[in-house]
This record gives sequence, C-alpha cells and structure tokens, in this order.
Amino acid sequence: MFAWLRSRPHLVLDDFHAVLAERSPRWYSACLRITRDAALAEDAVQDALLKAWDKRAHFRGEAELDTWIHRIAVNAAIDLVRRLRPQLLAEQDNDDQVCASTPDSEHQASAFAAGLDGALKALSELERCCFVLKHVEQWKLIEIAEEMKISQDSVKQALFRALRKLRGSLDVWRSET
Amino acid sequence: MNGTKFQPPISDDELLLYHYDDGLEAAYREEITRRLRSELGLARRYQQLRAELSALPAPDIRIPGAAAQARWHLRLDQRAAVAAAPSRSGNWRLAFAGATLVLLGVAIGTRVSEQTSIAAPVSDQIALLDEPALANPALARGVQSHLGDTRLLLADLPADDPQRRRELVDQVVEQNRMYARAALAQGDDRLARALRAFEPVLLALADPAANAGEQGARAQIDFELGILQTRLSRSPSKIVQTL
Repeated sequence: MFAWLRSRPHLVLDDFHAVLAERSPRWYSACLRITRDAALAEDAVQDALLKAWDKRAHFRGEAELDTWIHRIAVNAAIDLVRRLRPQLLAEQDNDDQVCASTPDSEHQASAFAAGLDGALKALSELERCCFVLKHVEQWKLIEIAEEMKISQDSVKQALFRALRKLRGSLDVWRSET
Repeated sequence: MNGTKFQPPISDDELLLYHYDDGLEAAYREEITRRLRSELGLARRYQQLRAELSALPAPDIRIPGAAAQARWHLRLDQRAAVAAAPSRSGNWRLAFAGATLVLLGVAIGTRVSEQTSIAAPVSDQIALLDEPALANPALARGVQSHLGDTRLLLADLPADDPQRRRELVDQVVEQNRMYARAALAQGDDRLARALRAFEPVLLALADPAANAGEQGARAQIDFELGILQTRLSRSPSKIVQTL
C-alpha cells in the first residue's frame, strides 16, 4: 500500500492526508503500546506527522511514507515516555527481584484473553518497551539501545525478563483454555 | 582422552537472540546452528520457544478517537499553510480562521468524547471556563504560573534564530501539554481543552518564516493567555475539588 509514493518526486499535502487517514490507527496503536496512555500516544502521532512534514524533502522513498512516519511516531513515543517517566525506564538488572514480582495467574489469563496489549501489562515499562520494539516493531537491539539511551546488554536483559514473564502467562493461559 | 569436548549449555536467553538473529557473535550463532542439528534436547527447547513466541496474540489495532484524527489533519494543514504562505500576516490569520472553521465543523459534526483534547478555538474554550468548578487551587496556580512564563517567553522569542525559536516553542508546547494532561487527570476537561486550544497557535509561531505577521499573532495569543490567567486567578475560592 502507498507504494506509488516511492516513485513520486515530491510529497504533497494530499499524500500525507491519505496516508494519515489510512494508517493512523497503526501508528496510534504502536505508540499506545509504548506509552500506555492515549493522550501521549496522540501527541506522539501528531509530533511525528509534523516532523515528517517538515522533513519531507529528506524522504528518499527507500521506505514507504507510512513506514517512515510509523518509525518517527514510535521514536516520539519513546521520547515522551523517557521524558515523562524516566524512573520507570531505569535499568533493572536484578533478575531475581523482577522475577519475584510475578503477576497473579488470574490477571495473566485475562490479560491474554485481551490480546497482546493485555499480556504486556505483566511487564515493567522497560521490559514492555524493549519487547515491543524487538518483537512487534522488529528493531535491531542496537537501535533499541540507542533510542532508549541504555546499553545493549540492558536491552537484552529486559528482553529475557519479558520472555520469562510472558512464558509464565502463556502457561496459565494454556491451562485456562 | 575420550574425544568428547565439553560444550557449555545454551540458555533459552541465547536461543531467544538466535531466534531474532540479533545480538550474538557470528561464530557463536554458527555453533548454535550446528548444535541444534545434533542435540535433540536443545532442538526441542528451541522449537518450544518458537512455538510460544508464535502463540503470543497479534498486536491490537486501536482506532484513535475522531477528534484526535481531526486534530492531526488540522495540524497538518496548519503546518503546511504556515510554511507555504508569502505573507505571514495574512496567512496566519487565514490559518487561524481555517482552523476555527474546521474545529467548529469537528465540534458540530463529531461526537467528541470526554477524553479528547481539543474541540474548539481558544476564545471559545476560555469562555467555557467562566463557569464555576474550575481546576483545583494547586493546579490553577501551576497553570497560572505556566501561562505567565509562556507570555514572557513569547515576548522574547528570537526572530533571527529559527532553530532556537522552534526549540523554545516546542518547550512551551510540551509544558502546555503537561498541564493539559494534569487537568484531564484531575477531571477538569474544560481547562484541558482550553490549554490544548493554544497549541496550534503556538505551533504557528514556531515557524521561522512567520516573521511578517508574527507581531499580530503574538499579540493575539498574549491577549488570550492573559484572559485565561485572569479567569484562573478569580475562580479558585469557589472551587469544589473533585477527586
């Protein structure tokens, strides 16, 4: 979709309106997964849209416009979370401590029933962001580390913890179904 | 010597990185590939991991509110209009008038939920604040202080340094959003909307090409900021705080 934009020499306003109308639910959902706050997610999408418009001359067309704005929106969402909730993104390398705070099984089962976003509620802010960026957005570890301003090793540890928690959720989920 | 070489176990963490094809040295990745072919238990664990990751629910797609979508289209139009206009003065007014019309259209034609952030222009939103039940005193004081700071900052907005100008306006917008969110969190939707209504006008000031009509725009926003400040200063004593 929107592949024709790649061959366009210049992006015009209508291109942005068209892609906004079609793809904004995906951008918004991605931002919501990062921020878990509707107002922040809306702000992130808006910031991304305006930034993309301002930088449209730099859009080379290697990616689709949708993908380009999606990426900017996710960056904006991370930036908002980092600025507003820095303590929650603080590095947590104490595996034992984190694993000890396993959510109760009832919550996990219902969370899975509510889809991925529900399942992610079992994760800490850092774990959720890292997992979403890796598993859903398919970013490289180095990209996640750079954008979140933490070490690659911290990203890995957060991913490992996320997986352990999600596997625990899956066990409960399976036993319920 | 029995010829067997000790091989340290491969953890599930390492299998996860292997699955994502990221974060492992190339040589170690090759070793895992080799051992997956020869070690049944390891292969089983890897299959289990992949199955579990595949079993995760698909990402949800949430539809943003109609007001948010309208706001994004509007902001885009405003940004495009501001950048394209030959005369800043006329253009700013045109953009503002256009925004007003679109916002009124949105307000009339769209069911605006309680959580949405903007529905009408600044003056309309401020007028709604005339009624009692305004923000709690602490919030009102914070917003007043924010409005005062904003007026001072806008008065000194540099005309010859577009980047600095944009940074300062972004800073004000961010602060403004913070107070709007605080108001929303405290159940004061009208104050949140009034603050949000300033955002397009502030963003219009950020444009480096906006110098020609900038004085008028600044005077207008300063006037409206002043009105809101006054409204907030006289209401708190009658407020019933909602928790």
